[in-house]
Amino acid sequence: MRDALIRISGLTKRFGTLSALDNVSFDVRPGEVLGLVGESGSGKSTVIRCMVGLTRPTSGTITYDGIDLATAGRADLHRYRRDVQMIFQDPYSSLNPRMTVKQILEEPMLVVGGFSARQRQERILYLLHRLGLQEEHLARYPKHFSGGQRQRIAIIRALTVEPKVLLCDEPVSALDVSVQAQVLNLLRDMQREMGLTVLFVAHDLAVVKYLCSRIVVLHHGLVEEIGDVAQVYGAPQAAYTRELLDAVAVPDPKVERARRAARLERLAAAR
Amino acid sequence: MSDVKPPLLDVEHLSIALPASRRVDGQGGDLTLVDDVSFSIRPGERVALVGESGSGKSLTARAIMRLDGEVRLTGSIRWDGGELVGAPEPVLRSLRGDDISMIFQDPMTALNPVLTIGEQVAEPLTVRGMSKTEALARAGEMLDRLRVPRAKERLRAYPGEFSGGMRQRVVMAAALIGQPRLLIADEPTTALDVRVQEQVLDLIVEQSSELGLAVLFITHDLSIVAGLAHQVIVMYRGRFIERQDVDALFAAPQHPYTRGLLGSIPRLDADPSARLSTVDEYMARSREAADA
Repeated sequence: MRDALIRISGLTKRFGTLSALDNVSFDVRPGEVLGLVGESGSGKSTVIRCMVGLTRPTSGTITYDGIDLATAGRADLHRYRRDVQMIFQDPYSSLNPRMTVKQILEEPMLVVGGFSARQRQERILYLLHRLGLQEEHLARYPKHFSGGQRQRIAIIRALTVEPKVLLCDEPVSALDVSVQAQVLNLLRDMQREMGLTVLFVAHDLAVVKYLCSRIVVLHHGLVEEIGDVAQVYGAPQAAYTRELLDAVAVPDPKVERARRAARLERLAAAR
Repeated sequence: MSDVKPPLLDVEHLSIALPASRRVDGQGGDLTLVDDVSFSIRPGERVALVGESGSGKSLTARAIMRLDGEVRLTGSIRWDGGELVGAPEPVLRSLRGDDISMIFQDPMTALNPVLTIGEQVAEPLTVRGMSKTEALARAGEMLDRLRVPRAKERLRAYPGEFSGGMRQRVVMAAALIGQPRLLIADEPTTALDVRVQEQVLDLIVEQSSELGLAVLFITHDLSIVAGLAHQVIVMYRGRFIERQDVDALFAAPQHPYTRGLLGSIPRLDADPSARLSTVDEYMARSREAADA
């Protein structure tokens, strides 16, 4: 087994008497795409928020490359913040409406530092073309772009500082199915080309199967199941995982009608 | 489905345009938003209107109840034989909520946070003159029918005390309590978790089958259409693309755009190493084929 790049251990977050996360532990291995799956209220976003310091865990530790984030010094934290970048769910609120695309894409490099004007320009142009946008888009504002284009801008922004890890919080769930496919393909290409490690938070198990190699299933702040995608999808151990898998619609009318009829019959019998 | 029943709703050559005076982009002339769409729905039939953002699917559905006053409609929308395009406001008013009901995407904003669940579900009946006591009793029955647990006790609860899935049931109860003949559902499950989505779709199918309720279901997601609709209409950039029986559409989609939509759905039963195709790829391929 390879070493963990990120290790979450015993992570607990309480809001009053409510446990948003209860003793959650898992590893993110270098170069893998790990799916973190659960419904609203499962705690999957709280994990991400703890990882980027938006919220402080009640107890438990998060280590990156052996560094404990809670006790890390300035230099280590600086490296962590460069190495680990984030892509948010809603590309309508994650881009500053008053900045041009050029300003949005330059900002992370300016914050991290160490990029010359020329390097910044080259990096932006390379990624812009790689993700299917044009140089003329740089002078425009976010409002001029569709949801899919905005999410591509957000991905470029995350990639400009040459990160090692991407934290993706439901990056495609606000998009139309066809745009979702485009963004998923781009994420997959980028992950392979750049050898990125990805923590991919999602509720759609079909999307997770397409992109991820391993999966962590969260429910009410508890880890229900961890395993390789093939193993969890082929033979789910937790009843909750089975329920989630059963709820994924299959684009086949005969299969879906039969499944719905069976469910409605069960419901009618229970009444 | 019996073919002898005349259509309840018959939309023919419907176009929706924004008049030049309403345009905010500074350009002259009317802006055509939906161009020549035709379809019909029979009693008890479920029709899905499928397309991406900006395809005009919601505008088309909203035009039936004329919810957008600033747009201009041409063509014909016949309800139960009577023409709605150009019909006076009182005719449309009597239709809305009575014969035709609508539910929306976001159950968080569709409900008034300062009114009780009971008041909101009962409202379609009280505005039609039913006594409050009787209307509330009916509201309790409707919520119970939609499997809201302890429905009668919770009539006095507020929307804030309900989860997203329960709120969408409340919205549905308010939409169905006046016994409409057509339910227009505009992306009703897009904001919901998968298990809750499945429950809400099950309820729509169940109510439609039991009550003979016609449903116009609007979505961008073809996978949820499979087990729900009898007929599917695909729209793209304000234009009608194709209309088929659901089985035929999934077995043999005619238009490259529809094939693109189907190809872009991640499937649990697919090999994850096979790349998802996008609509753009299908459209480009079909253009090449046409040029060759």
